[in-house]
Amino acid sequence: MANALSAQGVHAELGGFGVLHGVDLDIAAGETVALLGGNGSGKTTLLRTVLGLVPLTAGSVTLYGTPLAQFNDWWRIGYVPQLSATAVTKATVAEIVASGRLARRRMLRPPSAADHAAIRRALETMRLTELAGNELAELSGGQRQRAIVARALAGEPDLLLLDEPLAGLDTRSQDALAAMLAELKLAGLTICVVLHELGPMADLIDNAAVLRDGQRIFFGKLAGSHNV
Amino acid sequence: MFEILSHPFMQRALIAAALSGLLAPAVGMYIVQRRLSLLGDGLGHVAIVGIGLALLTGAAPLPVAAAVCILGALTVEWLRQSGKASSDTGLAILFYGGLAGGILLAGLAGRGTAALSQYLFGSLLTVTPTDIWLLGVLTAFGVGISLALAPQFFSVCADEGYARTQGLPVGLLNTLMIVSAALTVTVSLRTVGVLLVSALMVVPVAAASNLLTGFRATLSGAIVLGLLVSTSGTVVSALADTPSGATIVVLAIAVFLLSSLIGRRRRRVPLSDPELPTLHAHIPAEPHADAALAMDTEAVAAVLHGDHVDYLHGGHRHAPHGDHFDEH
Repeated sequence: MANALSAQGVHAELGGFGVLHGVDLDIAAGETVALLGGNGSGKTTLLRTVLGLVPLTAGSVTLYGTPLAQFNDWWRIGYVPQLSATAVTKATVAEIVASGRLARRRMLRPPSAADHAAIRRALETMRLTELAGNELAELSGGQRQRAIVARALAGEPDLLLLDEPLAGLDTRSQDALAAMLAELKLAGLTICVVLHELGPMADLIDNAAVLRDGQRIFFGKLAGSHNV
Repeated sequence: MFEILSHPFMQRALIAAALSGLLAPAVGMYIVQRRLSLLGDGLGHVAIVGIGLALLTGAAPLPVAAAVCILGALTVEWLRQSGKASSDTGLAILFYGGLAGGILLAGLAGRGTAALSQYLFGSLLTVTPTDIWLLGVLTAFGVGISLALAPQFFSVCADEGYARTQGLPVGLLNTLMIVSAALTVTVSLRTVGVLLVSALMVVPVAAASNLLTGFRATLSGAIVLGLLVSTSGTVVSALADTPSGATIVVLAIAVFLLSSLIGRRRRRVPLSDPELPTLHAHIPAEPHADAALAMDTEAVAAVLHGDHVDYLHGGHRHAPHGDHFDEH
């Protein structure tokens, strides 16, 4: 079976400066992989490149065996961008989560019963059911982070890509989010997570890729981590 | 009061005002969410070129203004998408190029700026029966797009990058959004005029946002408020003999101020979480009295472990984890 994600020799630039210099990354279905590295090491750019948000200047990316340029099954991919880069729009939690279902819906058609059910489940998974009718602006950072994870889950993806989901969260919120991601891992979701530090995520990680200056300097199991 | 409504020109004025009142907030909602509140202003200035061109050629002003405005909108979106100019610079070029070009063309046509002024500030009583048809079609198109594609537009407004990863045609949606803004400017030429059109796109949205929760409710509320202020403003301007565009905008701002007062009174309940799960799998390190001290001194060797630092401490490693240390 094809890997969920396979990136070979990825080069990418931001504003004319080379950020990634030939990075490889393979993620098998069901695996949880961490992308680690300091600020400016290229981990967020790598995530955005495999999503097609930053153009490849060289190398290749395949998602579930399909080259990125031909990939159309976007509902299989759940993307959780950095919370700090996500604008707080005028929206309720339910509305922002529902927008994660669009890849599964056809334009100009009302949402089906299955769509409503998936949105409800995403809210439940992230413990947001009671906050569904509240505005994003009223939420705490931890709650807002859970809302954008729930948005990614509303599409019922196979692969979840998260960009620094723990950043800016207090210890309790970090722990709760890690526990919810552990539940998703147990349910069989493939997870790739950019992390600045492992924190409570350490126990979930099967393999870690460590980047430095746009190159992968380590890939494999982290010593001392024990899986749930 | 009802006597006024019996005049056909007044009926046309009211219909035209209602059409802009419907369309401007329906499109403005997205423009406000994208933080492009001044885009309407920029496109309004481009429309002035269209009017200058119509004066020069003797063509009907509205269709020419519509065509020029859509062209200007497409140019600005192309500049933005290709990264050739930031939205800020692009808008500035639109503003001044449009205004200067329009005045220049009107001058060449042998008509001074006076001929332009009815389009700058609106002049509802000059609406012709043909105008009504054109305005009706443009409004139906703009409002139709705004409501039919609301989920997609919402996603793009909330997070363009995320919308792209969902396979949404973001470029096409952005183009439709900006073309709708161009249509709004054209429809509002007679109502509030190009200099005040942005107010009708932005102010009802801001007022509804103060009063209502969520995107869908705010969008609907803004359309209702836009319809109310544009029609009542038209009636007030006829009764009080004041300029229609300015009356509508002042009324809209009054509604906004009122909404701010009401919005501030709404109770903000702190949102508490239900019982959240916790991780149970990790093993807290055995407590050491000097653990905190070890963090501060260089008496212990720090080793890089993945991306974090472990502390060698009495032959075993500790990693900081919140308020305690884990064994690694």
